[in-house]
Amino acid sequence: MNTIPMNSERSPSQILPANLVNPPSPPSHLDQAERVRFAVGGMTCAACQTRIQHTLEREAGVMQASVNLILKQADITYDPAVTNPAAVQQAIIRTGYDAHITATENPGREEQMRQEQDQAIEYQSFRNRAIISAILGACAMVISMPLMGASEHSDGRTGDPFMHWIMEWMTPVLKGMVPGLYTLDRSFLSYSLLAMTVLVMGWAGRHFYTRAWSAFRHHSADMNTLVAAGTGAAFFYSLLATITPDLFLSRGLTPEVYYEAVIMIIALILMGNTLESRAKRQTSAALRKLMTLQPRTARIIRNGVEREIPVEDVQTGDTVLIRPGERLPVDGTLVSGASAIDESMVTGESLPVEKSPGDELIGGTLNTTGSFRYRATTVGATSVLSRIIQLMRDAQNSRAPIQQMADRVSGIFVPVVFSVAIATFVIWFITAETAPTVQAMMAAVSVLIIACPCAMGLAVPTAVMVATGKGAELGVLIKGGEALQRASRITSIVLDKTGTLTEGQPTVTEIVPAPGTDHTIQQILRLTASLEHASEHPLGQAIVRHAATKGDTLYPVQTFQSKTGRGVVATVEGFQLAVGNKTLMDELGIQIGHLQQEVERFAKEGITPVYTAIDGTVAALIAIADPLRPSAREVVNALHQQGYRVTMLTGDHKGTAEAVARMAGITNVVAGVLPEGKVAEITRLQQEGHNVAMVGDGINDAPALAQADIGIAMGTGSDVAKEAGDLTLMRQDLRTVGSALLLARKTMRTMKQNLFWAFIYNVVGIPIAAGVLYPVWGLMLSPILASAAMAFSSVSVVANSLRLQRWRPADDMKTS
Amino acid sequence: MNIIEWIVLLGGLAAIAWINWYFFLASPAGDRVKRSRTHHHT
Repeated sequence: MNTIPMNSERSPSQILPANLVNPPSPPSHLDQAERVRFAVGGMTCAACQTRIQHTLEREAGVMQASVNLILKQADITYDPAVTNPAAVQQAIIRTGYDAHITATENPGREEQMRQEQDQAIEYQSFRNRAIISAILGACAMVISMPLMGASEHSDGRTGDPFMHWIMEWMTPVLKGMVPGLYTLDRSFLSYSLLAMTVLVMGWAGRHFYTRAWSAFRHHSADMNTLVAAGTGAAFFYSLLATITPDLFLSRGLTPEVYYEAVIMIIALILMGNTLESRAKRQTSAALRKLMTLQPRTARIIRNGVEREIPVEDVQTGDTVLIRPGERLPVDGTLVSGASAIDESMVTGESLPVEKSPGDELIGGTLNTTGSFRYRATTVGATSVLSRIIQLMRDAQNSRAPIQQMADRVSGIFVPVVFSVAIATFVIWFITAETAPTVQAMMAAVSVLIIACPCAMGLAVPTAVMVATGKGAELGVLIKGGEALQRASRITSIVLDKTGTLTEGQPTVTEIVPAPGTDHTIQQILRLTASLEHASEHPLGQAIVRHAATKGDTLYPVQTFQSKTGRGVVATVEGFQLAVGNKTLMDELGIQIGHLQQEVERFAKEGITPVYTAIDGTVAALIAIADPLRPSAREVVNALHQQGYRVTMLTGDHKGTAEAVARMAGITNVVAGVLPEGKVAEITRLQQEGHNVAMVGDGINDAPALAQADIGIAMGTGSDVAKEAGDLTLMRQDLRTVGSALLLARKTMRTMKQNLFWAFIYNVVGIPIAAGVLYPVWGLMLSPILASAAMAFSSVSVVANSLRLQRWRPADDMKTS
Repeated sequence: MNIIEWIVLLGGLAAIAWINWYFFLASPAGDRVKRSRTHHHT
């Protein structure tokens, strides 16, 4: 059985070092709980989602349930002593929906593939039924013309005003083209229409009635209930008029039928469902792109033999061969050869990244020109690509707080609409001067058909889905809807210094030779690097790396002696070398001389000086600094322009911190703080009323990231999906911070627009359908037009969310 | 208002009352079972 033990859940303690987080303990009753995920079929709107959610919450043994309309899945936490997945599955099926347990071997990938297939099947099914219903609907409208022409109430004020308008326009045309139609018996036409309607209701629209009935039995109602009641009322009225026309005639009423309206309502709603289904597929376009990145096969060397095998069969430790232009099948470490890898689809980095032996490679990325071999390190569900897909799916499954309002409204929506429809019927029946029954029924049916809880249900999740995809495209993994909503309210940004504003690695920035020295810079560097090669000090390693970049080979070292906290002394190539700080020089009685001015300049710039003395005389001053990231100043400027208060936090001493801040253009600096101090500073800002985003490296800054309203973690290579933030930057490019925050603001605007239009559509549409404009302008809404409006309300909301796909950060930067 | 209109008015009010009772107040049978089971467990 594919159940997921509770301990397999991704918890903060697994993402962060245990000593850095203190997640709240789960309630003791959840200790023995198990989780299971179902794929749920047949959900069409927010009310369906609410219904299944309520059903599951009522089910004995179910502790937590989370139903997602768009992903069409339900995550259940249950007590195995009370219930089991089969019982929970039956509970969902009893509610009127399909449910099956999903595979968990490679959840992100497999679930996404299943969802792709389900969406494709759903789209084709809606499309076929919509096309056939629309053809039958057009035929029904033609056949209805002679019937309406014969009606005593064909003055355009009774029955369906849309059909009367069509009739006035079409009758002369039809009489010319199909004169025989007008000679056919009225009852024959009515029964022909009845047969067509039964076919459409029983085949194309069957699910409206079965699901509505299922919902009704469970004291629940959804979009299907509204459609079923609206079309059902029109159908049964028409059926009565067809079977017992005398009943109507004896009361002075024309036995009008509305079969064409029933068929067209079903056809239009199915058409709307078709468009909505296609648009919803587009909201997960980014995920689909990621899914296609991994090749199906890999060429490996096993037991000395080269062979091509399915990617699922690649094992950790296998040697994988890659040729120019090929995608990497799995994650790994480069063993031999070199190339530049295009990682843009995974990390958003636009330029190919040079890789040499020892470098980490990410599966799904594209090799450009070189050939190489690499050793597979992670495969299957634990690979970077799978984790990113899983994180994105989790994000898309999440709910934004702003959705709660829509959920509350859609929960009570349908019964309220029923009440309004009944009130409409009664008022029209009592007040209408001509044909009150017909007018009352048309108005009530219009109210039922135009009301649409779907748009409200789609308003927020579709925006979250498109935004998470857009985020991935920009190089940002977004944790979910709530993170997006909080990120949109940020007023203050706190940047960690080391590794965030700076490269995070000491680097030689300058070598200043002492005036009058006999040694060249190259020679000094080579000698110093030879000495430091034996040292493990980070500053020494910086010098060794610098020498390596110059292609220098190192000399053997004799009489190496480490002076703790001061430096090292040794004999290299016959020279007496001393490399270290000022204290070492003082201890050895070596004069600094004219280099003192340079030392003072370095201090101002936050640079650490390392002295190299050869045979008792200072030969050079090596400047070592953690250089500012090239984009840091530009990013800080942009954030200031967008109105954020920018602060730099660091554990470094004040001088270095202020120098870096000055170079980055930051005026608010808090230096010399420990991790607890960072948390305190963020708390202080929050108490001042700021909504704070903390940008850090995800491990050292974990407590501060957790304290901030939004934690933005900078990922590195294969660690991108492990990081701790609400937003995770998939590459070490600070520019994505501004883009991510702009995206959050833009998404929030889209959510609000969607909710506004979804609500305003119902607030305006329902009264018009009820006939409030009739006393003033004589305006009534046709049920057919109402069904068209209902069908396209959802489509318009999804289309508005899809506009986010075309958005570029530069668009908003110009206006901010 | 004639008698038919009175019947429609009263029928409509009754229908509105019933719908709101059925969807908002009356609990499904399963709910009652769940509540009794939960009560039993505690």
